[in-house]
Amino acid sequence: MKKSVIKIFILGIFLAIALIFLNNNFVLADNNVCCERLSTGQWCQSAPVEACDSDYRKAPTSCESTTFCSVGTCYDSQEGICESKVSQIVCNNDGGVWSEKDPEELPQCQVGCCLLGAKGANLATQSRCKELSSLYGVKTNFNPGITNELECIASTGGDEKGACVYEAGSERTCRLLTRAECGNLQENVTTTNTPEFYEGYLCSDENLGTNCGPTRETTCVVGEDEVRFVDSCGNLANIYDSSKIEDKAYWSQIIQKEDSCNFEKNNANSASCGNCDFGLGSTCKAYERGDPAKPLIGENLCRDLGCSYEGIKYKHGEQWCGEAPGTPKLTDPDQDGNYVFNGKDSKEDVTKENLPGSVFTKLTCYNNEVTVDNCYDGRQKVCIQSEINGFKNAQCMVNTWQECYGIKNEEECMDRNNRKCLWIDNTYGLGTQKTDGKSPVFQPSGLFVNGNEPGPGACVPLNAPGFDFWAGEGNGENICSLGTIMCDYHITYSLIDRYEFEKGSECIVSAEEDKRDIRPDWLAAANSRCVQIGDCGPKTNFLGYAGEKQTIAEKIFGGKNAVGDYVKADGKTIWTPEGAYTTWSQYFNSFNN
Amino acid sequence: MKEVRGESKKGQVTVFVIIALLIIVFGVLIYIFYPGLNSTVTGIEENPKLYLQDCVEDVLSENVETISSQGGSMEPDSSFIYNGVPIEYLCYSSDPYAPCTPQRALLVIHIEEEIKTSTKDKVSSCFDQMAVDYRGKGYDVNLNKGDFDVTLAPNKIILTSATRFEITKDSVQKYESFDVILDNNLFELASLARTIIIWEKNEGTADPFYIMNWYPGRFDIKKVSPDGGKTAIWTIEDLNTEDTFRFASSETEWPLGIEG
Repeated sequence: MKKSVIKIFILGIFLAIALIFLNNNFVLADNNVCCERLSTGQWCQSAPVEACDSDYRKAPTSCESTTFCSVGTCYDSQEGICESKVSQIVCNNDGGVWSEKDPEELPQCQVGCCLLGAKGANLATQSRCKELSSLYGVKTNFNPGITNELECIASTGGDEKGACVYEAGSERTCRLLTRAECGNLQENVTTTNTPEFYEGYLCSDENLGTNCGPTRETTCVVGEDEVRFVDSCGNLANIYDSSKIEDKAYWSQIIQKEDSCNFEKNNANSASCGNCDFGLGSTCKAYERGDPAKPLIGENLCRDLGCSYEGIKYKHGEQWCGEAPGTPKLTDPDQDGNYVFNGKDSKEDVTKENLPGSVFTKLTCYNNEVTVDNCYDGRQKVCIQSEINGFKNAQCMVNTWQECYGIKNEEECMDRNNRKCLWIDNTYGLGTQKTDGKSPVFQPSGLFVNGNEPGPGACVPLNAPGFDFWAGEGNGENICSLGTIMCDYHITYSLIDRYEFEKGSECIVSAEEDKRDIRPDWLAAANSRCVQIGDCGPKTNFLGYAGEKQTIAEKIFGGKNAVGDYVKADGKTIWTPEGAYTTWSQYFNSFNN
Repeated sequence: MKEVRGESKKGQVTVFVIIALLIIVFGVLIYIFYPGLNSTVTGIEENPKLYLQDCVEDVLSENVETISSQGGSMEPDSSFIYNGVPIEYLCYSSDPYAPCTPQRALLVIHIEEEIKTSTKDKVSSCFDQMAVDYRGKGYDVNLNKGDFDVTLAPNKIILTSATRFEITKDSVQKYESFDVILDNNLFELASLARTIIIWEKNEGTADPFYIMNWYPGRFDIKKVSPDGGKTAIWTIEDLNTEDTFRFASSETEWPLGIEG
């Protein structure tokens, strides 16, 4: 005979949360309209109708679908200026003519290289070029065949510099100028003859017979990176190279940067070579006491633009991910979105990484200065670091986690081109789950039986995000509730077998009285599943403060001999909010209270 | 004898020092009590073109600085207050999760108009004052004021006035137009601002270091967000000229949650 004691509990395990996050405001209001102008003055904004300026138009559609806010090219033919991606109303307000065509399709917007004589060159439309030429008093020289700025600047090669030699009183002297500047010299200085121009020559060339000669002085030039020698008339000479100080040829003709000392190296802190390069991390500066090197000649040298940060040296232009508390070091070695955590793992350590409150940071070394940028709150962006030929680079990449929760199969979940999720095999799918208490949950999928489980495996974010709980936005509470699991247990009693499980063995240690503890491994597994969803569960935050865990057991009703029933978690009797009902009448009466 | 000669030298030095001090004091007094003397000496008999340049340049420079620090407008329509200064949104989005929409077209032309409007009164008063000053110097003056334009060009801001100015004393001098030139690279700074705006419109947020790397050593670009990521205050500095341009832009935020 079996004397059964039926105890039906519903264990609601709410692995509740240190931080609770909510969403509401995020929802883009479906009743937004396109306001031509907001009452606060901004143009072409999608906003609730009441935010629109009533004196302007509005339409219940996206702004790009309207006539007044559609985007196109705005141009002013007279000034020769064209701008793409401008709303029609904004263009018209600013006096432009709007066209839905791209600038490339509009003849008025075709740019070319505008050569402005000694003033250089820049890309401009033909109209703008005419205007600029007129302003600078030079003949319009527009080349529509050059549409690249660098090519345009390079095409000004006619302005090669050279020695401009002239008589000033009884002296034959010289200035280093372009041919055009030399031709105009008489407008600015008093000369007693027509200046002679020697292209490619330095004023210190002995054969020119001027009063300018070599010196042991150097200088830095605004707009240039290199250290330059200076001649005795104050003219610039070639790039500083201490080995050439006595070399007459080096003081005779202009030597190009690429033919100067240690080209394509930054020459930072070099005592002998002033061929600095900003792109490679150096620029000219005056020597100061304490500098790593003193120039052999002169008082200027190439300054290293690199940085020192927390004892580590970084090159100028390098970017790297900071060691922000609670964030992992991420790399993407194959550039395929399969991030590597801390150089070795394919997933985060939820106990130490992507913790509540943590924010990825990106640091940049630029011109001797380190800048720290937060990627984004709630790890909506994660910092990914890479390295090419020893040069570090880092980017704050969008953490595309939002789609993960709804995905039910591994292949789709692990499609890292489209989202950054992680498939967990041995767990229940997300969404509030109620187990039958029998299945050995968190075991390999083949062991799921009876077919009443929602299916093994869950798709969770690769980098657990945070939610905007403080603003009541972000739906964090609902997202975390996807981790809720309930486990029923049913214990029978017979004289032969004593207490035994009908169901519930997966979550309760033993059917025997006083041993009905919730299985720590079940609890841990449920917790692990929960915390991978995001800032959910009793996570430790980025400052090291542990969150609070509540395990709730609710005894709905109990039958005969149910007095004293309880379950424990972590060795403690857990909360039974409704108390223990020893009779059916007590249970039903509870509804009346 | 030697001692006597020494005293004589000391006396001479003292006299020279006193005379030098008197000259300095006299000069300072003239400067303080006759401020008009400066312009009279250096401006008037020189050249009306230089007169106008001297007269307009400071105000032009001040206005350009204000306009440059406020996103291109003297009185921004839609602005973010940063350190007490209103900075115009050149790209704005009321929806924090959508990329911004450019709020100004033809920024260079707009800035030219702003400079013109803000400098108009000064240009006019300078011409009036110039006429008064030349008459005071005994010239017959014929002033026929015309319109003027402002043009932003690489490294220059050029104010060109069509005013005709004729002065007659012993001979007639005619001036058909006047230029005031300010060394300032606002043209390129505004053009670069436009590049940033398009990037922000397309991508939601732009990276200053990438843009700096396009022009190594030429510009310093800083972006700060005083309101926690909603607004970016961009400051572009020409490293050669130290001219700066500052504007505001709405940054695209990334939702801390999913649509409920």
